[in-house]
Amino acid sequence: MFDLDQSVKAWRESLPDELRVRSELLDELEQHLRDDFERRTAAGSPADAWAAALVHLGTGERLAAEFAKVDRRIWLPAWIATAVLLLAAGAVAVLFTSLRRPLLSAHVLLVTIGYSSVFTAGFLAVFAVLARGIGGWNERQQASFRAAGSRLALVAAMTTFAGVVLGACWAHAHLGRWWAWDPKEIGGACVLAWSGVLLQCFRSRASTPQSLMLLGVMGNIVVALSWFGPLLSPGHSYGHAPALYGGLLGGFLIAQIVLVYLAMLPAGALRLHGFLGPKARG
Amino acid sequence: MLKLGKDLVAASAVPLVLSILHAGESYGYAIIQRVRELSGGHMQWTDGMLYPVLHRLEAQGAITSRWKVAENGRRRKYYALKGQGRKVLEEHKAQWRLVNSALTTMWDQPCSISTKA
Repeated sequence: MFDLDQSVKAWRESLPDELRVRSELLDELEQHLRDDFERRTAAGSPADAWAAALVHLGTGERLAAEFAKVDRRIWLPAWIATAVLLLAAGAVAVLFTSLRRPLLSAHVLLVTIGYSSVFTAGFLAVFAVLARGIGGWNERQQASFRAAGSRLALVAAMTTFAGVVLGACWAHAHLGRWWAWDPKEIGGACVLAWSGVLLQCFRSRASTPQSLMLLGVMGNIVVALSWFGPLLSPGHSYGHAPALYGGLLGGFLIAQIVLVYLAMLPAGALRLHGFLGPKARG
Repeated sequence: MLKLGKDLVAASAVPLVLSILHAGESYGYAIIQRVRELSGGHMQWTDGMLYPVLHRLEAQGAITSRWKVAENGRRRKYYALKGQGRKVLEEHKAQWRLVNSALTTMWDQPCSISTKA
């Protein structure tokens, strides 16, 4: 016997991942299917009505392709972040190709791109936390955030991995050891591990938008400590940090902790009597 | 039955949706039914294709949406026209009237199709 709820569930499960993570859109399409099913059952069997409603709605792949076109156009922060990342990578490339130590230059370039990618994903997460807080956050932005975060995490994981390997090769050639667990190496390993976590979570359907925002913000903490923290450790070999340096790093880290707290608040919690932004959508 | 070309159906989607919403807020399924009714069944959309159009118009600020519980108790997403959407609709109207006027003038003229070089 035909079971509508079971059929709806199977249809939702059959959709491509990029649609399945958009619960509000799926609810809307489900209501459409139920309306169409209701109209068609008057003229035929429930099973036939359901099949016809599905055909008229279109395949999941086609729907996903059409929605991808809509999402591509809208999220300005992702485009800005990508442009900044490319500019930063270009500047570092120009700076280090002028050095005469190609292995070290390549290591620095790749690690810089990797760390910057995690920072860029973190910037998007900060934007998402604030937008969600004032209620100006919707499903399309959510989908764009997930797609951009996934791409950035992939770049971060690949370039950081290659950079860490090249760094180890350089250390073996010039310092006589592959790996010594010094603060920079520990930092590199941490960023690599975090990039892997980000990649897995941004690609997983099980991750909620809020958890992705939290991971993105926490990535800022991991990279800031890994990249700039070693300069604060006593007896390191990377030069002396100016007095202000510790304060700036500390201030940045505390700001990220505040953002972690803000990410835990309900959507729209930052809106003050309706003046700060539009009404929250959940 | 006269079947409209794919390109024409796609080009008319935005003005049709905006015109329907100009008459009052509505939801996806009702918009599709209204299009069928208005075109006498000649205009066949793949139903799912309406939603990207609605979402794009919303992203562009032409329409707005909200979830509402309908009379039958079912939760539906309703769309409504915004001020920006009215302007877009006016632009579409002017363009389609121009095309309509040009074609009507051409086709109503006797011996309108010239083969002279």
